[in-house]
Amino acid sequence: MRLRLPIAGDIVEWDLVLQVIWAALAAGVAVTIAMSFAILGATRAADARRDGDTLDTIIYGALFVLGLGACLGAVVLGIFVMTSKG
Amino acid sequence: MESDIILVIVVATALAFDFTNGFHDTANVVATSISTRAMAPRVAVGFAAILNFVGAFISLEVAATVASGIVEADLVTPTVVFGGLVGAITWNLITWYYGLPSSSSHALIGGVVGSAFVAGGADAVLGEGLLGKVAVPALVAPTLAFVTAAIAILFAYRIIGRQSPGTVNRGFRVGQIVSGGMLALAHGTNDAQKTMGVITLALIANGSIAGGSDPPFWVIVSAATAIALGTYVGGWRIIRTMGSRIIKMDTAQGFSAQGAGAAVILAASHVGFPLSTTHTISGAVMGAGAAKRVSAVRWGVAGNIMVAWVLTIPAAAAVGGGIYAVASVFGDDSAIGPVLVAAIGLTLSAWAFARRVRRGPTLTAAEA
Repeated sequence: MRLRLPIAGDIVEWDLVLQVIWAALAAGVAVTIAMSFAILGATRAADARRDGDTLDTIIYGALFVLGLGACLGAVVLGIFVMTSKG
Repeated sequence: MESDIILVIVVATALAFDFTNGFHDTANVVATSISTRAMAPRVAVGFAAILNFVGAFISLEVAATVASGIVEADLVTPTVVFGGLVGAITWNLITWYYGLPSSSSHALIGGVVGSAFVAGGADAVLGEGLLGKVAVPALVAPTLAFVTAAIAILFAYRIIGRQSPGTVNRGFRVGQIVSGGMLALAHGTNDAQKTMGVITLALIANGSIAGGSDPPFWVIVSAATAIALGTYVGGWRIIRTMGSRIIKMDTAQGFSAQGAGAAVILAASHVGFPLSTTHTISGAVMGAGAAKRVSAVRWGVAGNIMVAWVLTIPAAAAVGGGIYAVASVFGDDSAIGPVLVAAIGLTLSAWAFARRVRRGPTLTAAEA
């Protein structure tokens, strides 16, 4: 084995590591937040519709649509990443 | 003639490795979905198998060399690859038996490293490559997935904390079907290509196809089929470990673990940074559990898994090196050694299968 005491900075592509860290943190947290807001929106919109509160129904309905849209966007982005990898 | 026999054995062994890869890594994709009852066990593995098959066709950017940058490429002969594959298969089966999720990619790298070491001595192994392409990613993957899943689940609990559990569970279960599907696709895209790369390399080395060729269609279809079949058979012991023995997870934890895992894998894939799916998902599951309560994670089980991760490369290397030593006893170009090793391997497999059939299944899907 060529053990010439390599310096980690020479071997590891730290810029790639940092890119992976920030992209994964942002995407992983964002997709869970988006899904949580979609669920919150769906639940509250259903409650508001039952109570006849039109404004809340629209606001929470929009939250549901936005959250779901963000999740679907993440899926499309993921498939794009898979198909364009290399 | 002899080289054709070695080629056939290498192709068959590569497909056997691909099968164990799917079988071993099913847990990465389905364990959280089964544990939170987002999907029934058989439906989950069937879904994962189909998406692994499809994933193998999504991108044909084949990693054309085995353990590229980790061993001297000039020393990688079909017999060296054969030794590496047998080392990887052996380690996959051992860790499956003990229900430990470990990296199939690291097992393959370890096997080839051991085989190349015996073939070419210490200079055959590139220490820098091992550090940069294996050791650092092995630390980054689980740590990053752990932190991402932990932060994600804290936000999720904050947002949906007071909502009715029924609606929340239904919502996250639907989300898990999608995030599990993404993981299965990504797994098929990454892992089936390792086998395609191995077989393509063997075909090039044998002169069956020109250097730099894309994998033939039969290679793509057979690699996709082998990984899908392995996934469908399902490594239930590992599924049980990943799904319920590390933490008892709720649907929000299952979704955040899968979402974080998929994000880490796809981010790494995008920039070409090699990460293990198994390390990533295991780290995410532990992070989703620890963020709720540190004691929610069974650290003894987590510790056993980490020991298996550390042992993967040396253990697969030891087996790979030993197999190469036996297979090359009649010469690196002789088919006699690989034929003998393959015959012994098939006999042992048949014996184990017959023993298993006589005793009946020890673990059912329902138990998993």
